[in-house]
Amino acid sequence: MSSEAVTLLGVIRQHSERPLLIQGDEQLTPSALVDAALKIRSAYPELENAGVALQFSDNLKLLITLLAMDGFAAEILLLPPCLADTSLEHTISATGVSWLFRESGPTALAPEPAAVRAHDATHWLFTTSGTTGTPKVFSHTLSSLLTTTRPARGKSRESRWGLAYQPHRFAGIQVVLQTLVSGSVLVMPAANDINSMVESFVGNGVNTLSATPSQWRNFLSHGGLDRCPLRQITLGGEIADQAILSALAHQFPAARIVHIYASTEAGVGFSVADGKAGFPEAWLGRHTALELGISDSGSLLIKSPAISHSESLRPRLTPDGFLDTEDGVETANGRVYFLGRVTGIINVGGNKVHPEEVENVVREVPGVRNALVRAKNNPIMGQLVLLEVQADGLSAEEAGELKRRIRDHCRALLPAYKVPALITVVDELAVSDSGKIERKKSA
Amino acid sequence: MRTLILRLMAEIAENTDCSLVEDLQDNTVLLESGLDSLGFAILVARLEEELGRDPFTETDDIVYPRTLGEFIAIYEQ
Repeated sequence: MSSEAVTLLGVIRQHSERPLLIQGDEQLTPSALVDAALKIRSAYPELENAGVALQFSDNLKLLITLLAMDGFAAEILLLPPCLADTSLEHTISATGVSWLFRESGPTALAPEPAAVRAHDATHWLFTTSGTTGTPKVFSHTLSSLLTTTRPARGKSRESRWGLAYQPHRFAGIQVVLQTLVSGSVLVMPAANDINSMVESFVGNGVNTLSATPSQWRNFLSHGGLDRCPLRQITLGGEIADQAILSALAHQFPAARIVHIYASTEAGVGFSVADGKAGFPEAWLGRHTALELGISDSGSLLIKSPAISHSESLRPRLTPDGFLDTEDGVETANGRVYFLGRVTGIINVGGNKVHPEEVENVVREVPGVRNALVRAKNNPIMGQLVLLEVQADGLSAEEAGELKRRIRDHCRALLPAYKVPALITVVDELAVSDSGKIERKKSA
Repeated sequence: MRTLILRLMAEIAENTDCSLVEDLQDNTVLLESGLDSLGFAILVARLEEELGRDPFTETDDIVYPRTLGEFIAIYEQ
């Protein structure tokens, strides 16, 4: 591994001694973090230049292991703590990593781990689920991830960040990198429920917080964050509507409120700080380091040298080098507003749902002739999963029974956010000229 | 309105493996009622089906309710 590449350990070593990470009673300074990371490296020398998947439920342990592996392993893959069984196998085989590192230590995934792969810098692999269940892999390096991180400003060292996202997620990594690079304090809740978060953020005087619009609605309804001296509020991971932006401005008048648009796959994005939904139409063309445009089919186009060069993105590049984000937009009154995914992917409170995956599960239920899943816009979670099922001549009672069986079957096989929230039984589903069921826009 | 909301809350709790607290009062904090935020999102969508309106999207100037009483009041307006 080249010694010139930027590494997280190298970045942290430059900070002066004071707490950098706080979780519960633990406060870790840069030197404590460096020591803990080096201890992991010397305990597991076999991981040098290997592909390593990290799966932790303890956020602090995950971050220390991440510090150890960046600049040491050839590839890092961050896995959700709950990923298991076939989903775990699919993800691991799609990325080709050869070690699985958990709280209990690393285990080799094959009798003879794959040959050493040499890269100039550690590759950070992220996966998104595909329609067929085969995850798509996107690769970044620390340098490419840092291009989307705002450079440290004068006051950033006084920032006290709260971590509301899980750190294995792309949005969580952005927050972690932002704080580690700028040397601000990062406060990590010991658990991911709202009461633990609020308690930990209030107790540690968090003044900078990034969360999804759905999480923010939850925080506002909870009310406890009123005791946080918030001066920077960020919304990301979902479309920020005007209602949540206005409600936050009203509740936290001293805070700067920013909503972020980011494409996980492309590794690029931009932020909007004028308190209004969408972004100014004048940004189309060149905006900061990005070029923005709208495709003929109405999706946002982005051009940037920072765009990930993954194979899987190639089909979405236009001849003049723009990436089709597949996020639908419309312009009105001098603003560009986000409409949701043109591919039909549903975003339930920041969690992505492929309609096809849910439709396939629903079609397994006896009595279902066909199924159509689409987004239903919702003021609490952004969107919900709406299901229409085709079934023949059922009485009201039989339709109710069918809905119950569909719900039970989906609950057994899918996480809660993918289970259809609303179910309608219809006699017929609209079929397009090509014979496919028509995937209309969100309702 | 109150009866409709309480009936739907019970139905959604059953459908989403949640259990409502036994004694729901106007001052019950929504997030401690037993329904999670996904459950409340479904409640708003089901109420839109029943009533044909979603008061949360009727204005950009909304207050996110903290208690059950505040939630019901939004629908009684």
